[in-house]
Amino acid sequence: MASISSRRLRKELNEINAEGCPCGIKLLNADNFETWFFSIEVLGESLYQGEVFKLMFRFDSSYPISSPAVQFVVGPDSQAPIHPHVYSNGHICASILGNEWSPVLSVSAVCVTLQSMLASCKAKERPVDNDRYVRYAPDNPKKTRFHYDGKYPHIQHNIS
Amino acid sequence: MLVNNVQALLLSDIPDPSDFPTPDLRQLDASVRCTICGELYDAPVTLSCGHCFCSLCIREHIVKEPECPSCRKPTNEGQFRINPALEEVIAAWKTVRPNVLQLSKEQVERISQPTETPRRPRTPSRKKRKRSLTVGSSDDDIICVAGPSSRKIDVSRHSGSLSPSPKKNSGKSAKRKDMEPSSDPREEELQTEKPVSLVQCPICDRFVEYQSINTHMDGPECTSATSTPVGKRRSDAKGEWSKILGGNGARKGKNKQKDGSPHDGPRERIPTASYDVLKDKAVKDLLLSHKLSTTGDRKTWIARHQRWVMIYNANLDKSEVNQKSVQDLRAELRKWEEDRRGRKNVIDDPVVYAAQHHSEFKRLIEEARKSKDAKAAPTPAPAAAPSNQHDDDDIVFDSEEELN
Repeated sequence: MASISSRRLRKELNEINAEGCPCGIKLLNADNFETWFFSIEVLGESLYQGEVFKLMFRFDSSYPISSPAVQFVVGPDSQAPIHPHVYSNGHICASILGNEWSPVLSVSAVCVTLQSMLASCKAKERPVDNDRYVRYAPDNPKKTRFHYDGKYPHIQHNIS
Repeated sequence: MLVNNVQALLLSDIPDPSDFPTPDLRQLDASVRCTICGELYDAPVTLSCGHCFCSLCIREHIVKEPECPSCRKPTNEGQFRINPALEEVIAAWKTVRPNVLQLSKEQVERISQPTETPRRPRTPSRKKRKRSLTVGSSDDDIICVAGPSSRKIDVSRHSGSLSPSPKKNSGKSAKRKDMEPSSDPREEELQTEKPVSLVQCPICDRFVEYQSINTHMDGPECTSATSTPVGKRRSDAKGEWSKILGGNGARKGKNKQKDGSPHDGPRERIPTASYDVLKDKAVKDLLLSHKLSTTGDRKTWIARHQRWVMIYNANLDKSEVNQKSVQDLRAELRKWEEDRRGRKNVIDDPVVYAAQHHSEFKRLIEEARKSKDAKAAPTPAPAAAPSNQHDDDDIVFDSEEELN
């Protein structure tokens, strides 16, 4: 039996194939229903003009009830954007990926949110506690409990 | 893991709004789907804010977050209202969907052929323009083709109901609507699939072809419980009436219903339990009271009972004809548990597993030491082997649990 998560992801993939991704977002790889890769860039006036980033989505079997694990890929060919809510290891502090996730959201909705997060950035800087977080960060950003209030993120509790 | 499943799923055909070639039909198909699971609503319930979800989907969600997934308005189980009207729409759409899909695809093909436009979805306005163009070309062939197909699309827009719709079309197509056999051979083929001369069987309320009604009434299928949704509901109603009127209201219908009925007695919703205040014995008793298995540890019991309550109560949100039997629900629960177990990657013997994967663990430890030493430098790429690491995490965790 196809599980609900795979069926739902399959439908999202169908929609992406039929109608295309939102502007500036491209599907790079979706061979299975566990990990997908997207490229994302901010179109128009922004601090990130000309920069292309790579996003990784990881789904568990309780998707869409639980959120996907989303992070920027840091590797030889891509870097995490310098942004007050993005750590240098690619982890993103965005409420939509944590306690404000809703099962009616989708992969492309997350992409658009992150795109607008980048587009609205006023100053290119890392989160204040970047070094401390990155040193002990779990592999899966979902295991971090981010604190979402305020202008700058801070980690309340690391549950890895 | 599960590679075969993934492959099968990639190849298998999962119905989806994008099946339809035209945007309006896509919209229609999408609007009768749950926004959580993406399937056609199964036991739709409406929240106080008006948003609608599958009963099971929203029940799963409010365990995590007691708010509407769409508008984030606080909600709880008591606010759920069943939606039988929508359920009927879904039932009708399910039966008519394959037909509408086929017709709409054919229509797009037909339109694209004479004008040699690429086959792709188009907006209604463009379609209309094209149609009037072909009509204007005064080619007999083309008029013949365009007429019936435009009628078909209208039919499908009314969610498959065959009621004639008021039309701005030419008199030609209006006339065509009345005379069923059309000049189009392909269309005739389609119509023979669904016999026109149906009569309702007075015994089982099923629709049967006029010619075979007598053999049907004598045959075994007439008395069997499986009938069309409409028919079933009627006999259910009979049963209800006989319950009210006491015993011999509709003797035959009632007995039959009892025999074929999957449920035993009236069903009530199971209240949710607060497991934290219950001792092991009490949790076990909860399971036993629903005749569920008590294998596994306390955590498994609680998960099992929670799921059972969800499945059971969600099932009661369906109209009575669509409700599943307790046996089916038990099978569903078993399947859910099996899926969960398969996913968890349980290790039977942690010692053997550790020996087998010794080199990999060693490599990971080595890497971790290196990255710790070079803390000023950026961490090694998480993209390199994130999924593997992730799995390992889980596995270690599981085996620890077992050791305890």
